[in-house]
This record gives sequence, structure tokens and C-alpha cells, in this order.
Amino acid sequence: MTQSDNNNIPMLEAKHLVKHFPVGTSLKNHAVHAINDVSLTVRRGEVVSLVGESGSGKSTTARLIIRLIQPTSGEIFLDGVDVLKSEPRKASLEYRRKVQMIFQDPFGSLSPNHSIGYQLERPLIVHKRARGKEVRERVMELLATVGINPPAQMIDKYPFELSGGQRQRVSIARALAVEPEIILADEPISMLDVSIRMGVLNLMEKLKEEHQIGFLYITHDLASARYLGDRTMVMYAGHVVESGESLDLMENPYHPYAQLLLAAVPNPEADLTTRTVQARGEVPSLIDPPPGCPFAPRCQQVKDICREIMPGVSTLKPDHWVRCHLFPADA
Amino acid sequence: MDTMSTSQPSEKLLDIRDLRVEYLTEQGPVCAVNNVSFSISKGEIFGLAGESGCGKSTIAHAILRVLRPPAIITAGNVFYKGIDVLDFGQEQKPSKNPDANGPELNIESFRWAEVSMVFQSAMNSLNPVMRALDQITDVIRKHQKIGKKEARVRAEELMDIVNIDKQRLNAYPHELSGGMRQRMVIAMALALKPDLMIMDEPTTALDVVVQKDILQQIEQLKEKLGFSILFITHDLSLMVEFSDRIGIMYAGELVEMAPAKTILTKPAHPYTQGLLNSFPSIRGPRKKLTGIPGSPPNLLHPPKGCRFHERCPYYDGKDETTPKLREITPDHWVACNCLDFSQAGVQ
Repeated sequence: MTQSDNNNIPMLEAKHLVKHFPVGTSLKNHAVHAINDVSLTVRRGEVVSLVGESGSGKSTTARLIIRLIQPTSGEIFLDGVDVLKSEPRKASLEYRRKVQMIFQDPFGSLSPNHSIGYQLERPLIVHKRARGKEVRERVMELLATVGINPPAQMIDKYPFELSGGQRQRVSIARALAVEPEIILADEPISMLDVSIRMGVLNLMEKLKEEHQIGFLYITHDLASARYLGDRTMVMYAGHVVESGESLDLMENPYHPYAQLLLAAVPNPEADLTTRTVQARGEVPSLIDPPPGCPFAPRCQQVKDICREIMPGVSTLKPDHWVRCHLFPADA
Repeated sequence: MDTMSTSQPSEKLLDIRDLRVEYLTEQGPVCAVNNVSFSISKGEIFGLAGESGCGKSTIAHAILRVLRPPAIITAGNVFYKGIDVLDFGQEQKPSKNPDANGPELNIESFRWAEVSMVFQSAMNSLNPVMRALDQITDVIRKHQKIGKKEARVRAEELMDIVNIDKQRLNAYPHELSGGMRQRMVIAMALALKPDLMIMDEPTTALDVVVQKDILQQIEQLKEKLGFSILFITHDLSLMVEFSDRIGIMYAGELVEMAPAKTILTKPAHPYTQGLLNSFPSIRGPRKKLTGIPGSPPNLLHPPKGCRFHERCPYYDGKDETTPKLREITPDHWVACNCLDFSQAGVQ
């Protein structure tokens, strides 16, 4: 390992994450299979987009990685250390510093009782990133970094005085305060007004470039996943079904579900009626699902084997793989 | 605005003129819809696009007369088949139609039988303690004198139209998926064969695959049954794909109105241009998009003159009058003081 290929070391790596939520009564034990065998890596200065419909397990993946919930099985490596082994009960302060999260709802994720300045000072003090007079200076710096000008006016304001876009910028500043290596962004723009969404996306892009932060960008919007993400992973019913370089994946989707999803994205240049629906139906129930590929009931090219065994990974190009029986699995 | 009446009035199903709606809040009146005029022809899909809080839904509610205080309609007319909807009292007496051949309507026969609405979230617009069947037959039997069995047959026909298994009529809303509930609501909106259907963000809560499926079904139904649609969404790419004509709203005002393809290829108003610049594309090379700087104004204290001027890259600080909609090319209306649209090929 030399310094030069530092960029290619996966900074965060999740392997075979599984999360089952128990439901039902003591007589009838059921489990919601929210996440089944999800593996992903996020490298330094890279944005990985995680796309999928609601209920596909995107947010659960993020909550597992930030360790708000404990996985049923699987491993999480940060800078090569298996964190679930080395700190099994709860995440260490160091882990929480390195992995930060931005939530979907900027109205709920800032405390209404404290000023913006206070909310940004807390992480700096708790994580000992600054002391004394430095704290204020650092808060100013952070606000300027996320594009709030002039920052001095913002410090004494309370969240209710801010617009949605400003709140989301403050949330990003709070995540940045502890100099994280990874930021998990869970639908950071979906609750913002349309005209200010690009500003927040461009800010994330800037942070990636200038601070070499790795992002896991969770979204249901394929267009923004393509805009921001270097790589894109498509989730369906708790499985990652396809992963590849964003432009390549959106240009040549291999998995039938990825094809369906991309065909359904509104295309202003075409007429609605000219595009045909390839697969009807909806996402299957995740409570005790049958074996095999979750997409099999809707898939037009379904084979017998699809209903029995979940397909393995087929690498079709460097950095582009798919989990589908239509393609020969890797040896 | 007399300049608006260009096409033959007989074609117009709905004609809104200078509509103004205010919310009377404790801090003062908020003008949520300010002098908005547009019309919808028979069989047309008219789209209203804009950000949250720009007054799209308020217009929809004003048309159906379901605004509640503190919202009040302070000025304007809403003509439906020649009758001013705003003249309806709550009593049963039908309004006189100035057009001798036109129908006589009162508020009850107007709502749902003539104009129906698909509300924003299907989860909240169905009654959770009533079976789907009862909710649909309720609507039918309120307006038509038919028996329960007949109403059930009608409900089953509607299920066919929106592609739901008839068995599901016996389900309660919580037993249905989001897509099915939305289809149920659409079926209810179609129950009395209205001539105009208002769809307020009908698919926002749904996934893209379901969204496309439902919108395609609606378009096919529209071809078959010939109703018009007022379609409201903030998703401009969906809007361009689905609508025939589009009105762009900003802070309670209509700033641009044109056929859908014109909005896409030749957006004239700076706000429309900015809005189009806020949606990344799924195809072609990756382009840097900028969005629009700043954020939408607080309507309690709207900016003077053009409400967009604080965020507008073209504003020169000279003209402080409120811009009026003017026709720059046939059927393309823009409200902007700063840009000169006299030369062809304005970008």
C-alpha cells in the first residue's frame, strides 16, 4: 500500500449486511427482511448514490452504517477496522466523528430550542475539535463553507427563522464540524423547494472535491443520483440488484428492475403514451419473503431458477455488477 | 385581463379571470393567488407548475369552492361552462346560465358531478373506517337515484377502469397499497363522469414506476371519456411530459403560460429558465446545473413590483411596476419587464 493509491482504499466498507425486524406475536414469529446481504464501499472523495423505491431498504442501510441500529449479521469496516468487533456495544466517539449523517427533514433534525450557533458549537466541544475562542471562529468558518453569508447574522438565529434550504445547509455544517470522513446523506433535498435543491447538491459536490469527503447519497430520484454520484447502486426489496459507474449504469442498465425504473423516469422529450409499461405490480411484502429473486414476480424474463435461488454477483465490466440469473455469475 | 380572451369562448370549459385569494392571518393578509387568469379547453390537460407555497393548490380549492377561512376569494371570476362558480350560494337553487344551451348548476351538482378532484395524498382522502365499496357507492348514490346493487355494478366497472381487482372493493384503505389507494381515489373522481378533473400532485407520494403506470392509465381514460384535466405538480419534467399547456406560477402569480413543448424548448421567463435549470437530466452528458439563488419570498411581505426580482439575474433595478402577462409569440404568455421579447428566438 503506497500513499498514491490511497484514494482506492475503501474507507468505509459494509459486507453482507442483513437486518431483520421482528414482527408479530410470541406465537407467530415473523420478521421483516428489510436488508438482505447488502455490501457497499465508499472511497475517499467519492459519492455513491443509493437509489430505490420507498421501502427498498435505503434508509435502513444508512442507519445500520451509522450504527443507530444493530445489524442482524454482517460486517462494517472503517479504514480497515471491523468496527462491529472492536466496539460491539455502541459506536465509539471516534467512529461517530468519522461517520456523520444528514437527515431528510431539515425541520425535524435541528433542535428548535437552541440557536444555530449553539447547535454548531456542541459537536466542536464534545469532539474536542476546538476550544475557547476558536469555537466561535470555527462556527463562522463552517457557516461560510456551506454558503451562508454573512455567517455572523446566522449564529443567534433559531431554526424557525430559517428557510428549508438554510436549515439543510446548517445541518450540513453541523455534520462538517467534526471533520468527518464519510457523510451519509439520506434524501437531503427531497423536502426542499425545487429551485434551491441544486444549490444543496452543488454544495455536496464542492465538499467532496475540496475536503475529500466520501458521501453515501440516498435518494429515490435517479436524475439527481446520476448528477451527483460517481457510482450508483440500485436497491430493490432489501437487495442491491445492480451497481456501476453512474453514467454507464443509467445508459446501459442490465437488471430488468433497473431497466424498468429508468424507463419510468419522466422524460420531457418523449410522450407518455409512446413508452410502454414493461412490468406491472408492486414491491412484494418483506415479511418472511419466499426464497429467490424478489423481483421474480414482476420480471418479464423470469426463469424457474429465479423463484428458488437469489442470484449471485455477475461482474459485467470493471466496477459494474448485477445480481440476476440472466447473466453468468462470477466464479 | 381582456387580453386573455384570444381563443373562442365556446371551447372553454373553465375560464378563470383575475382570481385573487387571500389568507387572513394574524400578521395581516397573505395574498396567495394574485390576479391569475387562465382557461382550460375541452379535452385539454392544463398543468400548473411551481414550488410549494406558490398558490397552485389554493387555485384548485378555489375552483371547487372548498376554501375555508382564513382563506377568502377577494376578487375575480371562475366561469365553468359559462356560469360563474363563485356566485353559487350554499343553497340548492340552480344558478341561471347566461348561455341558453348551457346546463343549470348549483354547488352540489357542480362539485364532483361536473368537477372532481384527486387530492394530494390518497392516504388522507379515503375514510379509514369505511370499506372502499361504501365510499364509492356513497358518491354515486348521493348524486344519482340508483339502488345499492346498481351502484355496486358501477363501482365494479370503475375498478376495471383503474385496473384493480373487484375483490378489493371489500377492503379497508389500510389494506391497500399506496398505488392502489391512489387508483381508488381516481376511480371515485371518475364515478360521476365529470367534465373536469383536478389532480393536485396525484402521484407525488408514489414511486416512479407506479406513477408512470397511473398517469398512462389516466391519459388513456381521458382519450376515451374526453374529460379535461387540471394537473398540478412541482415536478417540471413530469409536467412537460403529461400536459398539453403549462402555466408556471411564482409566489402567487402566473409568470408564464405556453404549450408544454414551448416551455421546455423556449422558456422565456427567468424563473422558468431557472426552474428548468434545477432538474438534472437522466440522459446525455452530465451538465453543471445552478438552480436559482435565494429562496421563495415570504408572501406576508411580497417584494414590490415583480415578485421574482430579488432572485432574477436580469433585473436591472429600473422597472418597479408589476409585470403583466403579454403574448410574445402566439399562445406564449410571459410576465416580465426586463427581457425584451421583440426579437425572435429569445433564450
